Amino acid sequence: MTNTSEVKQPKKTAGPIRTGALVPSLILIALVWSYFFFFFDSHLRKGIEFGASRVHGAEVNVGRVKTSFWGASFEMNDLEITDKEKPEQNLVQVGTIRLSMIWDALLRGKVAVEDASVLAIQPWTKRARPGHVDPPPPPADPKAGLLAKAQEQVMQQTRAKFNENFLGDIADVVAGTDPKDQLKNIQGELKAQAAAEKLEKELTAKKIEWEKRIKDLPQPKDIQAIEAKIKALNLNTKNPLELAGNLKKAKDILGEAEAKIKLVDQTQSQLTGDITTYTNAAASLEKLAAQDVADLQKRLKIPSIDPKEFSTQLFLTMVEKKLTGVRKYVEIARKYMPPKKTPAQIAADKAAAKDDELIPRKRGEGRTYAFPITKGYPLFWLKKAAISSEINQTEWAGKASGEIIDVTTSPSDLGRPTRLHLAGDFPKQNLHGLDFQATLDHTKESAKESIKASIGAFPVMNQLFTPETSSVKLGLKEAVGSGSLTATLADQTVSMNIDSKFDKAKFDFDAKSGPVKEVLGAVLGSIPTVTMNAGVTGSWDKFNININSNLGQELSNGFQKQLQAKLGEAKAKLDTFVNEKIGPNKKKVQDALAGLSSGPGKALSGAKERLSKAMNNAKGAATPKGGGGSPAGGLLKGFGL
Amino acid sequence: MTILFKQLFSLLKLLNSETGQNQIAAGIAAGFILGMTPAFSLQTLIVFLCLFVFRIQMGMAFLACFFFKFIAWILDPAFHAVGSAVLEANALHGLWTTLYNMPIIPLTRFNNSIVMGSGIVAILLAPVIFFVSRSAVVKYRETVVARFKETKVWKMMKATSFYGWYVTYDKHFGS
Repeated sequence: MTNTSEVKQPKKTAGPIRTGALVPSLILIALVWSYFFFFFDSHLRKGIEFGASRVHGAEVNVGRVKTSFWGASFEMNDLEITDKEKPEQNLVQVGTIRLSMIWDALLRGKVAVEDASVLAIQPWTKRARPGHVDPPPPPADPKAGLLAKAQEQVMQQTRAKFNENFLGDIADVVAGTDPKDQLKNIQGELKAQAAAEKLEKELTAKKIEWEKRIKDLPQPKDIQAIEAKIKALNLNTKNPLELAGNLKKAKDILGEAEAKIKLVDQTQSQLTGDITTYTNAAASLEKLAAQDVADLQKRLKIPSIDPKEFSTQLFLTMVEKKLTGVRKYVEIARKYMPPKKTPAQIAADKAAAKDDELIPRKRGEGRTYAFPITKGYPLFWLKKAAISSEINQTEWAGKASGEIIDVTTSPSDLGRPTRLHLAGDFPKQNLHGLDFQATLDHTKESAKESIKASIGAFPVMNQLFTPETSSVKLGLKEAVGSGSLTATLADQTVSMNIDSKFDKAKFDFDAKSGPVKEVLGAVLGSIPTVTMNAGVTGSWDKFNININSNLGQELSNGFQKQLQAKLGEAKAKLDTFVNEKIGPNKKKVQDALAGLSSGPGKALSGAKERLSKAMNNAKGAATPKGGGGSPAGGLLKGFGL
Repeated sequence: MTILFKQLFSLLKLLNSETGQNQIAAGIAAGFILGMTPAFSLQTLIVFLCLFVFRIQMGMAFLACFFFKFIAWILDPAFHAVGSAVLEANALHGLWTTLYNMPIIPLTRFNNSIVMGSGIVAILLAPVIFFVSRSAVVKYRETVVARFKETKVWKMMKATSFYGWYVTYDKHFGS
């Protein structure tokens, strides 16, 4: 007989270690390793391309990225930054960027780069295909980012000064456009006219108000009544008690009279104040009229032949680009390398943290405490990056050298400003004497940046001073440019100076109007070198731009003969138009003001004179006949009468 | 997802078996630590590594983590208070400064009030949770499972051929 029932073998007890997980663990490790070996570098490259393109505003390409885990190193090759102006070329191409990080810092969750190198710098290299350029940011969107807002702030001010068709307007005046016809169509009220009408209404109301107030003021008869009251008192009595009582009464009565006179005095000074205010307001009508003339000049596109205006209109776009560029990069630097917080900012942060406590916290938010860094690193710290480029490295490489020192996310902790210096020559691109120095001092509460850049020579090709849409085209076909830029920024203030020079200038110009083209040809033919100096001072929300150029001066002189008479005539027409419009209102205002001075003003002066006279009489009545030597006289003095 | 379901089925099997109470209790304790920790940090990674290397019931750990996450959310203000008190203690300032300046340690995010508070609570209570849940599992088997095995429904089911197939399948392919 066979035993068919199976003998149940006791299952082997498994140990505490999951030995079965060995293979999956190895597979997982292999997968992770494979990802980092095969894909991580290319994903990082794409990430850098995306991020850099967003910041720069035009396509940025990276040829190759190589990272090493054990060496904690990073290498990037063939970095191409598209030129926003000419997308078919690069602004700069960098052959290699190499940096090695410190493991000690990485283990602390920080990135500290001991040494980095930037090699084979090549400006203006040709791209394989034109790079994508982001469209300009839309006008002030309250939700727009910090950079867009900063750029918008600058452009709002420059655009207010800019006339896109400045030379086109000059051409129109040369062609003989008469502003008289355009003025007929202007239906809108002038500022001066509106102000005069408002002033006139106010003055009429004031006159009525003052007349009413004067009526309510004490009249001479009131003082005469007081005088009668005093006379009724017996101040010559020999009874000392009665005399003292009467004198006290007299003093009270006189005090009452003085209060009334004081009220009249106060009213008179208030009226004088009103008259002064309205006289000034009437005088400001002249300024408003001048402003109206200027506005109309702009509205009717009547240009000015002031050399400064010529220079401003020709070079404002160039200055604007440099200004927005400086603003943008300084803003980025301040965002990622923030200056030390002021006590007010620290207090605000603490208050915000307290407010947060009232709202239920999200899971895991908590409060993160910062302890003193005794042996540590900022979140990011690039100690030193050496820039070097030799002519023989690649075809378009130049000879350049420089260094970037102490780029960090915590400048206040590090206590050292960031310094950048680059100098070089790029003979293939005809770019000589490039020198760039910048110091970004964010170590203290107030951020300070200073930039000094200069270039000995660079080629200028097809640079237009006028917009493409302008009916008059003016620009440089070819020239050798040189220039310098110095900028000092502290908190919200800016001081910038730009000097540019274009030698061997060959101009490119065109105009539909024959006389304009003739003038341009004559003027530009005698200018071998164009110089431009621009100064920007003030704060970012309100700055002044002062642009001077010999081109502006020469063009102004050139158009002077053609335009002076016509512009003078046009301006005279505007003056007449404005004066005719506001003349009647101005006269009404003057009449109303005169009415206020002669009516209530005169009435109040007369009333005051009469009251003073009555008061003197009352005081006389309060003087006892015995004189100052009598006992009553002594008492009077004692009562202060 | 398949792994998760597999883990949950194996949890049910283990829970109703006669062994593995330590694995289940360790799973609950590990899930407790994971659930209490507010965000991904170095200590979370260490717990995951333990789950992977040691025979801790993963299904139970994930289930417990899910459950304790809700409790932790309610307890966050208390964790914040504990963490803040510890991090602000003058006597410990030197220790925190040293740890803050050491490599690797800052990756634990110990300087966050909730991470510190929940970490302290989780480490202190994890052994308690382990022993309590182990005795709860034993109690469950003694009362619920034993009683269920005595029911007619279970006996009827055990007598079916389907159950026989299941046992055979489990013998060959079950973990």
